[in-house]
Amino acid sequence: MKNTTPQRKPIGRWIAWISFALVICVAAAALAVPVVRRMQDGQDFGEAFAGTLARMPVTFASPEFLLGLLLLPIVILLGRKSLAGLDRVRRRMAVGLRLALVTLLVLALAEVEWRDLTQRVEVIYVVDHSRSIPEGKSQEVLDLINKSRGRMDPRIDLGKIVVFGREGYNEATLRRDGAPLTRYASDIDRDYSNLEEGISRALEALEPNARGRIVLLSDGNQTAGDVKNAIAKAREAGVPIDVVPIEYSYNEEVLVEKIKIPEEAKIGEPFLARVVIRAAEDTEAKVHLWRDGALIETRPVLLKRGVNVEKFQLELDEAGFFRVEAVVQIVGKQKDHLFQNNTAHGFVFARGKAQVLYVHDEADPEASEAHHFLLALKAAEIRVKVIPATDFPLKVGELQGFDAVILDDVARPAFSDKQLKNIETAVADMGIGLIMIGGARGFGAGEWRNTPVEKALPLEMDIKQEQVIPDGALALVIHSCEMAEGNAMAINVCQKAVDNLSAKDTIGVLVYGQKGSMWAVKPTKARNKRQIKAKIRQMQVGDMPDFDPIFSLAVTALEKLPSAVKHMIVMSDGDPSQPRASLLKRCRKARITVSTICYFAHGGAQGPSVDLMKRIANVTGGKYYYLDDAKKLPQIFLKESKRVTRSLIVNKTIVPAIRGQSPVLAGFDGFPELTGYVLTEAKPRAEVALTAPDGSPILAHWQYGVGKTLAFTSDAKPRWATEWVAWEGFQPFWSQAVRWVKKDVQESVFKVSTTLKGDQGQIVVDAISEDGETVSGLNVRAKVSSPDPKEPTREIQLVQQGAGRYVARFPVTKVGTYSVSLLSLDAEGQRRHSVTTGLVVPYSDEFKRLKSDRTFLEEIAKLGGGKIVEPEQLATFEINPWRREDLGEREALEERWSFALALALLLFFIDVATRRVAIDWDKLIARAKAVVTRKETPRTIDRLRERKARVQQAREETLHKFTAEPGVDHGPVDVAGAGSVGGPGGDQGQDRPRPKPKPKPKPTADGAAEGGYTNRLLEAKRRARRELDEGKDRG
Amino acid sequence: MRRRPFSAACVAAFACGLAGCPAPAGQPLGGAVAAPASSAAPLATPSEAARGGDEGAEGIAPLYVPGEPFPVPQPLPAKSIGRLIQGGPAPQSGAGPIEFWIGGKGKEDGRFAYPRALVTNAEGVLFVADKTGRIQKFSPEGSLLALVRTPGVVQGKPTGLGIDPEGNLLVADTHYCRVLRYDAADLTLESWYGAPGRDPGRFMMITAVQATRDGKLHFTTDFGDDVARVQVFRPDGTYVRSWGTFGDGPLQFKRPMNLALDEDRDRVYVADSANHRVGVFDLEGKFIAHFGGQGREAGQLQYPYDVKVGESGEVWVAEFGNQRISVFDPEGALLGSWGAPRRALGGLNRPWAVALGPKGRVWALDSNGDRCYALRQNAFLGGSK
Repeated sequence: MKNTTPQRKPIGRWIAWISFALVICVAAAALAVPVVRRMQDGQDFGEAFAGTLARMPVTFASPEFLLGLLLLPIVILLGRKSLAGLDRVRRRMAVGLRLALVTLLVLALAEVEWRDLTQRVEVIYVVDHSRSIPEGKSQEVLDLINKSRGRMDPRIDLGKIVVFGREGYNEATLRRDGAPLTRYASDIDRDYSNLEEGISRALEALEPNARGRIVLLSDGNQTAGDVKNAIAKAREAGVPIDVVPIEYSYNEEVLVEKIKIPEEAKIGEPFLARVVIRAAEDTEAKVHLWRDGALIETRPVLLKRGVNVEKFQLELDEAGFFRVEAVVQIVGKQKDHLFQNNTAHGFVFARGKAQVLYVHDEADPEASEAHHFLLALKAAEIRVKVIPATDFPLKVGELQGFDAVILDDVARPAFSDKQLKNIETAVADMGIGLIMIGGARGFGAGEWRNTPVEKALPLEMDIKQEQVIPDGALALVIHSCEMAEGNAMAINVCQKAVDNLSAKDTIGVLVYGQKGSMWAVKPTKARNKRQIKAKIRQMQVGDMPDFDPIFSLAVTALEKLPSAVKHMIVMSDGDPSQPRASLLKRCRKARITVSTICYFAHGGAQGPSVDLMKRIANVTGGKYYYLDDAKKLPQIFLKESKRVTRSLIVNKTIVPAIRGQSPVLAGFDGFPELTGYVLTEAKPRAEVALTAPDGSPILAHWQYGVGKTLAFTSDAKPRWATEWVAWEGFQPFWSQAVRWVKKDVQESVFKVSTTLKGDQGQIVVDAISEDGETVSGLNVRAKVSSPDPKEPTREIQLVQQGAGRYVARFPVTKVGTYSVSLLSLDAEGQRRHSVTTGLVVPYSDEFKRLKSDRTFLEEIAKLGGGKIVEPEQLATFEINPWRREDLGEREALEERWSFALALALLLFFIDVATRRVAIDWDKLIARAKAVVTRKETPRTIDRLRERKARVQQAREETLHKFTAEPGVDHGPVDVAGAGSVGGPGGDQGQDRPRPKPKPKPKPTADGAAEGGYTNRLLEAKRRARRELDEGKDRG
Repeated sequence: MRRRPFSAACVAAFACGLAGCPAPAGQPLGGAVAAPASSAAPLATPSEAARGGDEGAEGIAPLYVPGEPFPVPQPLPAKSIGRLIQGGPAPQSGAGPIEFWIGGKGKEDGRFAYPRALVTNAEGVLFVADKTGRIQKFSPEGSLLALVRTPGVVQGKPTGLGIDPEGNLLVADTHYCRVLRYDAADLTLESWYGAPGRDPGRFMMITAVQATRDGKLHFTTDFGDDVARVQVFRPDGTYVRSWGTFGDGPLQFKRPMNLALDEDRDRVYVADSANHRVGVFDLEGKFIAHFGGQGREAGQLQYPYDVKVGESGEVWVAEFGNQRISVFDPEGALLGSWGAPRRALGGLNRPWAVALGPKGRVWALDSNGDRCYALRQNAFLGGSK
């Protein structure tokens, strides 16, 4: 062990403190100078400070953690104690390391970032993928882009592709070594070229910490947007725009510019349609003219280069709005590149004479007897179109040509929900009249209950009032079924039966349930249908052993009811024991009909089980059904439950009585008798013109929305109106009724113009009355139908903008003719004007441009601060899109917290090492020296011997110091550490396990020398003590 | 293994469980069996199918008309299983003296789907017919021995079972209007007789078939439409006699569901369900008495669907309407009843049948609950609810 202490240099401490202070000063200066400069520029201290911090090369993402630096003094304090065992150098190193460690950790937590100018370059290719560009060129562009990737620096450069048509989308990211792009995946509207969108999208896609350049690949035919806006944005962002022109020109092209056709025409009068065709060269072609999807004419033509006009003569034979299309088709060898520009659209509207739509029921056996009615109308010179219910128009627009719709004895099931809704809309919004004439299929008996048509009519199909009006009673008997889903089905159909009944009818359901034969639903009026259905859903259908008690319950209840129609439906497999004969007799007496539905899986349509079911039905006058297909059950049930609702038909001879003044009855003071009618109830605001003696309406009418409706609950056929048909007043009555109901709309003197503004259509109506005055305060509505039948009709309200001017806009997305039908009402809703017109949306300008626009592209490049790059230059890398010139500068913040953390870890290990690991410097130096001078390293044992020799030498010297003069006898004294007292002496220690000191030369003298040695020691000791005492005395 | 007794125990138990399903001793079980072993009938070719107006087993098998030697069909394979059945120990207190139960809802072997008929043979083996058309054979301890499906199930399933003195199983195939006879050992179909029809000698919906002790006569009940009667046949299908019409008079029935023979006392008990009574007749068909009467009180009946005679002549009745099993003495006095109309385990929900086994065993068929309880006779004495 070294026992020389190094010389402490107090100066080292000073150096440490001074350097520390210097560091602080430098940092302060670095901070202060820009702060002061900014303050000189006029900012106050706070701003200056913040500004300076903002521009520091080092920033922190979470600067709040910098408060951790306050821990540093604590580290030092702690270090004092825990590191006390170390020597000063080590301690200082340890503390220093700890401080550094803590600082680095704090920096890492605060997410230190290093600010630097970035060298990354990002190139965004903005590719025009509109249809004006030929397909082949598009592919070439793609190849070009793929090739240009070769110039990317894969470490730092970035590339993207933005594709645009009408909109722009980020298509892909380019990688130098990635797979080449083969086609575009983005779904864009290629019918437009919107360069502005493309460049805007590219700017958004730029990475913030890369220097950007946009390369625009386009043909320059801008058909949407304004690219100058986008260029300005790019300049601001410091992004130059290079332009690669895609050049082409169509030499062989034929397009139809437009079709000139008058907007309105009269029926039967011919008019001209002019088709303007432009051809690039002389070509043979065919021109097709279509009207509403039907081909009218095909004409072969010889087109000359330039503009050609073909005239077609057309004539309309019916009223309505018609879409006309002209299509040109090249015949011969020439190629026509773009087909989208081969069609032009137009429209023509024809007004017609008054016409009425008469709808009858095809299945009606008495349909032929409707001719009485039709003859009457014909005699009154009312034009009638007769159709069966199955041919009823599907679209509301098709009803526009009619002034009135007559439904004569037609049941609702013949129509779809949409058709019914269309009828209601036609009446309410278009002013078309509606007449419903009854018969066994009209009104409630025809299931018109709860339909939109019922809403339009002045009568209610459901009789709600509590009067002595016959109603029906229905009892359902349900027996649990062999089939798995049978019970569920039974419950289902029971609920549907409830729906079918009117509020006046009584319903009850019997089962063999928990308590045996019981009412699952006690006989009750079908008013609160929801409640009844809920009870049905909850019922437990059990295995009925015996019909007798069930029938007993049912018959007893039904007998007591005053209902006009009493009916039972029994669903069973026939196993239950038969009801006693007397019960069936009572059924007959009370006119209770029992229908039985027998369900098995299949087979066994005869046999004992069904005998009973058959018999019950036969005896009581009901119907027997054998159910082999479960799907038929609802049908059967519905049919059966309708027996009850048929009570709405009254087969009685009555003479209708006149009630009140009605314009429809003008000139009539009496009417012949009728032998039947359908029961209905008048709505509160309805005008009831004729009634039956019991008060139920026979003829009622009212206004519904813009139109009028009329209801006649008897019929116009010899079945119920035998006397009427023969009556001389039949024809005037009905023609008067029809005329009253007809649409009463005047021809308009309004001026309507429709124009296309961008992607919107605009309707402008100038309302001028007959005397030339502008009309304000009108309610003008428009219905717009798209050329695409799948799109729904749009309803728009026009807004008054200025005196007599009404304007509205609507979005236009499809190419073709939009039909616009306008209706205007004045404040009281009285005067009605209607106009039908259209808006032609031609194909995009995209398809009119037949070549690329180089000039425009050059302008873009100039404005954008870039240059025109020919495709070849790009392909041969003559020009590198990733070049660093002309690019704006970008700063990037790069995180350094991971670096700080790594360093902290390293320091941590070093810290531990410095405290725990002791390095023998001497040895190291010696080793080093040895290595350098190639001296042999002394072996350990040699070193030990050497050491021992040295120690021994030192000891002898010391000993010598204390040696007394020979001959002095000092007596035995215990000399500390000199070996055992009185013993033989120090060299007796040879037998002790210790590195033996070199054996001292044996004393040749005898014991006297030894004794002399001890004496000498003693003498030395005495001398030393004496010196001490003398010193003491002196000091 | 020495060190892990628990695992060893588990493995051993598992192995035992697999191997130790009680295989029926010595019975040849298994798939298709060739020709029926013991059949008294001559092997004759089947006669032609439907005879004028006879429908029923369309395409399944030809019908037999009384008077003709009846055909022997191809026996149907019987499925047999030797597995442990579903079931468990008796439910907790309050439910009565149920020892165990068998079944449970399902169409798998050992389970029931709305079981409707029970019968036991002399050894106490139980047969259960349910609404899938299966007839399952259980040991007195409740393990499933074999099962078979009646040949026709499409029109309906059997609702009556009986045993003849040779131990063969008789099935009243209700909607096919015939009686089937199965060899009880392996449940192979041996023969049948019956045809649909109103006239005596034909069947409407046949609900029961029981054999006399000497095996010479079969008593059946059938009903349908306005027919309700007891008919007597010989085992070969020859019609002997019948009595009964629809109604509530002495010799009248309404939906007779089962009958039981007490030959010692020369009695026939008929479960006259829609009349809510048990009719007592002698073997010739002479009326003796009725007992029951509609009601829920003790001693009254509601829709008695099954009737069985015990060793001492007591009459066991399964009441569909009152959801209980009642037992009467031969004079019609109530001895006791048991049943709780509940869906839960332990309840008796619309019982269709009751059967008696040796050693005081009573089987009660909980039809809506799809299970069959095994009870002890002494539970009934004392007249619990």
